[in-house]
Parts: sequence; structure tokens; C-alpha cells
Amino acid sequence: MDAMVNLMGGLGVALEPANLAVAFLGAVLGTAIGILPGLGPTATISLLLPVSIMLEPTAAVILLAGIYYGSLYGGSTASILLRVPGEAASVVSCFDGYPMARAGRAGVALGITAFASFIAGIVATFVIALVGPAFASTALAFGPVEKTALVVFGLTLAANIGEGPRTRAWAMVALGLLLSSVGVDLVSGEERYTFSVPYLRDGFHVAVLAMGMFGVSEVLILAERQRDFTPALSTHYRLRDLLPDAKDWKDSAMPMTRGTVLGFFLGLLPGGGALIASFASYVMEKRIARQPERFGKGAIEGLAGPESANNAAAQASFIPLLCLGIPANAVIGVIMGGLLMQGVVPGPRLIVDHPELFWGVIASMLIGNAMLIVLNVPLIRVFVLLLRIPPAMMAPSILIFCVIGAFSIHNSLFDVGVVTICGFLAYGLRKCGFDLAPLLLAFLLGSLLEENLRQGLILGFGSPVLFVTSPISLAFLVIAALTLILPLMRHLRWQRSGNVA
Amino acid sequence: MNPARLSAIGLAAVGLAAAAMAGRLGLWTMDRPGPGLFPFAAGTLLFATSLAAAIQGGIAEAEDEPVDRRRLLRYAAAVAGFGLAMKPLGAIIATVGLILGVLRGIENRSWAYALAVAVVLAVLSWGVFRHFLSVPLPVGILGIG
Repeated sequence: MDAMVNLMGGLGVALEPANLAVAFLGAVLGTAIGILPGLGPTATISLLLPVSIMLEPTAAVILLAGIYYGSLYGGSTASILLRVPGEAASVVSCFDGYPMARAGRAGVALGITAFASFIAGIVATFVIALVGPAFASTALAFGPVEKTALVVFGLTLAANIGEGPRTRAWAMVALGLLLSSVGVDLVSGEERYTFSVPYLRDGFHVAVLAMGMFGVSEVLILAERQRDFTPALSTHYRLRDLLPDAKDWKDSAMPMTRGTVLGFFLGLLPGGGALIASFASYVMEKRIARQPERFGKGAIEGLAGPESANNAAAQASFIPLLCLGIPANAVIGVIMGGLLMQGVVPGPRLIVDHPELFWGVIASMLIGNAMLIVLNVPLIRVFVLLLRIPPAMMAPSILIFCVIGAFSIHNSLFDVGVVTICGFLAYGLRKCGFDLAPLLLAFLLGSLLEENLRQGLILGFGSPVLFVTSPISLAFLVIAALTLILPLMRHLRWQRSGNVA
Repeated sequence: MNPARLSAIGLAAVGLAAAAMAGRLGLWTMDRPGPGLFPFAAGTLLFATSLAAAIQGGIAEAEDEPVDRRRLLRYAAAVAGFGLAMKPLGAIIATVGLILGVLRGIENRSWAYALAVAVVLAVLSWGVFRHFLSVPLPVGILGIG
């Protein structure tokens, strides 16, 4: 009951004109960048970090959050119409959405994705309001030892669930931790990896790194080949074409329910998020379907389930951020960077110290989702026109925002150099099979990990034994170890069975 | 040697160098963790995992279509050139130069189209950053900005 009262209080914050305006801006921008292939939510939110400093912390997070879940609404549009995912989590929408469009059911496909996202978004918001405070109050009991173990657990999941081979993901975790230690050590005053460069004394700024890693490197990815999306855009949609009929609703109801539950749980896991949730839901729907052979040929269940799952996961991933201070994925990591830039430290104390921010952001998800269903059903034709923007204009526009945005953080040309070099290095890493999400998460969590690890060791008089005598810490470390060992054992068993065969 | 393996070896070298530098900072001082302990652990982890990745071999990103290397190199030059031109030319001229260079030189658009887009984007970025965010953008030798 308290949760509902607090949620109503949050609605009061979210309905303030300034917050309402940024929620609308987030929904519009999110839908737009979701539709435009090539510019994902991570890059867009990174680009907007310098702008978000101008806003109040609550408004800034409402804006950035709106872009994230808004991008999931828009992301499916290009997947369905062109078989080109607007962003990564919408890859699954290509599987059955595009065949539906080819069969003349593009309108229904677009409509069901919007409704599935909306229903999952609303349900997820209420569940966040109910379970979020319980998460935070549990985490309030955590000391440095438990926090260290929690971060280790989070990094283990980030490395294991991310894309690409595990060893490469772990290398990125290590690189992120190393980058987080650049600058003056706050305990001893020693300079670490500064090479006598005064600009490096404060370390790297998260926004500069994020813009380089996801913005400048995206420019180079876009530059690899010419793209043109205009030929497939001649179809016109009337509102009634977008409304699913009774059979569509009947076929989609259970996949939406299952997708929402599955997505919510996967969104809570560090390293999880919309991408994994949408794939997991698709696999689940196909496995339990009476006619699995329909999947990939325009099965509406293969669209409704994953669309619900990715939106529920995106919103659930705010729980680890707001209640534990752990970013569940790269997008949430960049949003965490935005909070830190505002001087707000996310974690269990956030709900106590900044209740207006916590409840305002959660309540804004209700309003944001309501705005998005309007933007993505009656107004979808307007957004589809965005695909007519020549891709040639996107790359230089992103670059301008990244470079001038990096300059604006400290009014320093040194940051311009960092963002450019970081972009080239990130492009190289991406092309060599390294996933950058674990790098960013480790960079964000590095200072938290070091601070708590040092405090934990001091508490134990130099001995790490406290990390295994605390039941909470032990539980996190055991799960982390299992997460490491189980895939390895599976791999070894698979290799052995392969050799026997 | 493929680029994926080469990059892993490069990262292993970075990890090794970082661990060595961290070791000199002191891993354990006055009965408590020293400033070098955490970066030493991170460097060692980077060395070990990158070495393992190098031994496993390269899994470079699979490409659906071939990369247009000439186009990519031109864009890379534009990215680097924009960063380098910001200080001497100032933000506005560097922005106009970037857009003109990309649209005319790489994308083969007409001069009029490229110039129009360049002016619009330069004015827009100048308006957002200089006026809305009050960022003192570099004015360059010509003092425009």
C-alpha cells in the first residue's frame, strides 16, 4: 500500500510541467533513434549526457530513461518494415515481423509490437514500485564486504552474459577496471597512470569515454558502407490497419504475459537487459508452440512475446541501478554516469535521500509509456518518414555532438583528443570481437569495487577472510564462482562428448 | 596473424605493463592495501585473459557485406581532422569543414546541398552548445565563435 502512495507522490513529480516536457522529449527522441538504424540508445544517451547536466537530476533521468524504453518501441519499426533492426534488442522482431510485413500484415505487426511494449511497460512499472523499496532496504544492510562481493557478482554476470567469447569479455572487464584506476588515488594521494599529464589527475570522465566508445566508433561503423533505406517506405498505414483483431489478441495474450514475466526477471540480472530478454522469450515461445514451424514465417507469438520481454527487461534494469547502484547493462551504465555527473550516487540510500527522484522516475515510466503508445500507433507514419533522412547526414551529426559534447564537459581540448582516440580504439576492439558493454560497466563499478575492497581488507586487518565469513558476501561469491565454472564445465563436457563421437 | 589475435596480444602487453607499474606504487603499505593493489590486480587479470583470448584465436566480427575500406579511411581522416582542427580553426569553421568534406568529398553530394547542411548543422550545434549550454567553444585564429 505504501508503494502505491509513494507512486502517487511520484506521479505528482512526474506531472510537473518540466518533467512532463522531458518525458515527452525522451519518448520522441527514443522512438526516433529506435527507428533510425545505426544510432542506438547507448550512443544517443552518451551524446546527451552533456545536455542532461543542464537539467534537474530527476528531469535528467526521466529524459534518459524515456530515450531507453522509447527506443525499444521504435526499434521494431525498422525491423518489421526493412529487416534492419533499429537497435540491438529489436533483432528478434525481424524474425517474424518482417515476414508479417511481406504478407501484407505490416500494420498489425507494428500495432501488436506497440501494444505488447505498452502492456509490459505498465505492468513492469507497477512491479518496480512494489519490489524496488524491498531491494533497497535489504541492500541498506550491506557493508563494504557485501558491496565488494555484490560488485564482483555483477561483473561476473556482465562478463558471462554479454556478447562474444567469455575470455574476451573478461579482458574488457579488466580493461574497464584498469581505466577506472587512472588518476590520483584518493587514499594515498599517489598518481596512477597519469604520465605527468595534469588532465589525467582526475581520471577519465565517463561521458567522454562513453561518447568515444559508442558515438565515435558508431560513426566509423556507419562509414563502412553506403546505406539507403528509402525504397521500402512506400507503404501507407491507416489507424485501423494497425489495430490487431480478436484472433491476433488471443494469439498474443499468453506470449505477452510470459514475455513480461521473463523479461522482468532477466532485466534484474546484472549483465541482462532487453537484448537477452527478447532472445530468451523468442526461444521460449518457439519451444512451447504447438506449431513451431510457423516461427520465422510470420507467427505473431514470435513478435508479441519478445516485444513484451524487451520492454519489461529495460524497465526492470532500473531496479539494480536505483536500489543497488549496480548498472545492469551498458545503457543503464551510461544513465548511471548521468546521475554521477549530477552528484547523485545511485544505491540503496537513493530512495531515502532522493525519494522525489526515485518515485518521480518510476512514475514517469507510466506517463512515458502512455505517450509512446500514442506516438507509435496513430503517429507511426510520421516517424517512419525519419527513415528518409539520408544516412550520410547521420555520421557527421553524431561526430559533431560527440566532439563538441566532449569539449563541453571540462571546456578542454584534451577531452576532444580522448574522445577521438577512444573512438578509434573502440572501433578496433569491436571489429576484433570485443564487446564494449563489460568495459563500460567495469569502468563505472571500478572505483566502487576498489573503495569497498580496501575497506573490507582494512576491516579484516589485512585478511580477506571476512569476504567468506559474511553469509551475504559468501552467497554472492559462490554464485559468481558458479557462473564462472558452469559454462566452463559445460564446454569441457561438450568437447569430451564431441571427441568420443 | 589475424587482427583479433593481434589485438588480444596488444591488450596482454598493456596488462603486463600496467601490472608492473602498479607494483612499483606499492601493493601493501603500513598494514593496509596500497595504491598499487587494485590496478595490479586489474592489470594481471587483463594480461591473463587477453593471453587466453590470443591463444584461443580470433573471432572477428562476421560481416554481412564487405567493408568499403577506402570510404572508411576517408571517414577516419575526417574524424581525426575534425578533432585536430577544433583548436586552430574554431568550432564553427571546423564543423562547416567537416560536413562539406564528408558530404562533398565522400558522399558525392552537390556543393549547394553540402553547404546548406553544413551551415544548418554548424548553426544548430553552435546554438545548442554556445547559447543553451553556455560552453565557451574554441574560436580559433579567426576568432569566430
